[in-house]
Amino acid sequence: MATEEHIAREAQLVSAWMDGELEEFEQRRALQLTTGSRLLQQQWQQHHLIRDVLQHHHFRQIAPDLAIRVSQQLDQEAQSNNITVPKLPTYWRQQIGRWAMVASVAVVALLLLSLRQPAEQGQLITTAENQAVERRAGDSAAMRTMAPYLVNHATYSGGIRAPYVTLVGHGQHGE
Amino acid sequence: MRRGLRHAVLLLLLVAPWLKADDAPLAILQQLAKSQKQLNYRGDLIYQSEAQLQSVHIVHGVTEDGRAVYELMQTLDGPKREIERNGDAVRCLLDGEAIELQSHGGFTPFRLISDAQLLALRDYYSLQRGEPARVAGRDAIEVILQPQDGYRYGYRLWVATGAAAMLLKSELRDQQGRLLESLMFTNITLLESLPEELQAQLQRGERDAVVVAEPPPAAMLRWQVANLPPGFHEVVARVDALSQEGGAIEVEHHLYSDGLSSVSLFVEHNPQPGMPVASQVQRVGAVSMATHHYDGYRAVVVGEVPALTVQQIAASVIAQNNETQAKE
Repeated sequence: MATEEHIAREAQLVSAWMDGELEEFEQRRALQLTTGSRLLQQQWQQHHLIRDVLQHHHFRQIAPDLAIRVSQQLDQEAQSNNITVPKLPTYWRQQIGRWAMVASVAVVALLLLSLRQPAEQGQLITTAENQAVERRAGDSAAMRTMAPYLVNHATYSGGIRAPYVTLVGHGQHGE
Repeated sequence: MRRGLRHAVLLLLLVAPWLKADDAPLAILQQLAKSQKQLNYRGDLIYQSEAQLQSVHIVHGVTEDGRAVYELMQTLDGPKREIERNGDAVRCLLDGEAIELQSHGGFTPFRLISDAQLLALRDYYSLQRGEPARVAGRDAIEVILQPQDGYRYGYRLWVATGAAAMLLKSELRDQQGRLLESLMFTNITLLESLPEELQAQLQRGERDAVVVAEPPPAAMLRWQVANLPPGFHEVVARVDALSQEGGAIEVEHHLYSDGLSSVSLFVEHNPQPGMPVASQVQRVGAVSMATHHYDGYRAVVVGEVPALTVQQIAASVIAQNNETQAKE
């Protein structure tokens, strides 16, 4: 029971960390806890996944698994090449493993920050605006070619909708 | 007894088209087509197509005999664009450039929609009655026309209920249901006679009337389409003058319609004969245009239809006499 409460407290701490509600000292503690707990790492991943889906940044879900996938790939390559990795004493292996995990979490955190940056600075919006402007320019050129034919067509077709409205609505030069 | 039952079933099958649930939408469209030939009105509408949003003022009138239409359409924001229809003459001022069209007298401006054409719509669209709605302060009923193939777009039409069955709002959607173009009246005033603005236009038109030569006999028409998309049939075939930058050019104009969607074929002398130019398709909003170059001639196809339709028509133009496809 006490263990369950302990896990729940740790989960709350990580959740608060993800929500940016922790002081620097608490952040360090949360980071330490996360690196030592597979359960908290999963929670950390799920939290990011949910947030990214809500923000329509589905591609970011690859980021949290990056360290694991790189590690797996290295293991596979080592096995396939029959490379014998000299074994370090258990204490040093644990320390290096822990620091590697801390580093990978930090890298992923930085990666997330850098991925978020362009959207906040409006770079994506600017690209969309450029595309809209290009399309508008293309529309205007096309309408310039179409206009004489469209006038004739609209006059004789007498469509159910106001037949000239496309001409007036688009014009030839755009705005 | 069994024979009587068979006869009853056969009779039911024969009259089944008249008992379909989509009869009500057809009746609405019929009422809409009729009232279009009679209504005088003044109003403002919003036109939206992809990134374009435009408010437009429109004044529309019909002569008492229903044979001539007068219309004035002006943009209310952005660059001034204006179209003035004065019976047989149309004058457009689009971003400072003028395009004029003086058609030959005697054509009926409202080609839509004969009863036979209305019934034929059911072969190419599934018709459905939508929910009652309110547009521009008026009660309206929605009619949904879903295309059965890729040769036409879908329509959602909101028609005013009551005596004046007027189109208050419309949407054009592709087969996937994506919105291509919509227009909606925000206010509208129905009038008993030709609006004052158009009275002056009518008088000016009579004063400045241009005598136009009679259209050439059908024998002078040289082209036809070998592979028309299903449901489309020819409703106009004539030789016209088309306003171009270097002056008017002569074109052969064929108009095809399925009763709702329409598309025009223009065949003209190729201004740059011998130059190999690949077929091109352009689209602005719901309007598609295809250009196909033949030896010495060029086919231009324009209409509020998908690219597939204009491409197919442009690529299957043949000479009327020898029934062979023009040399590419």
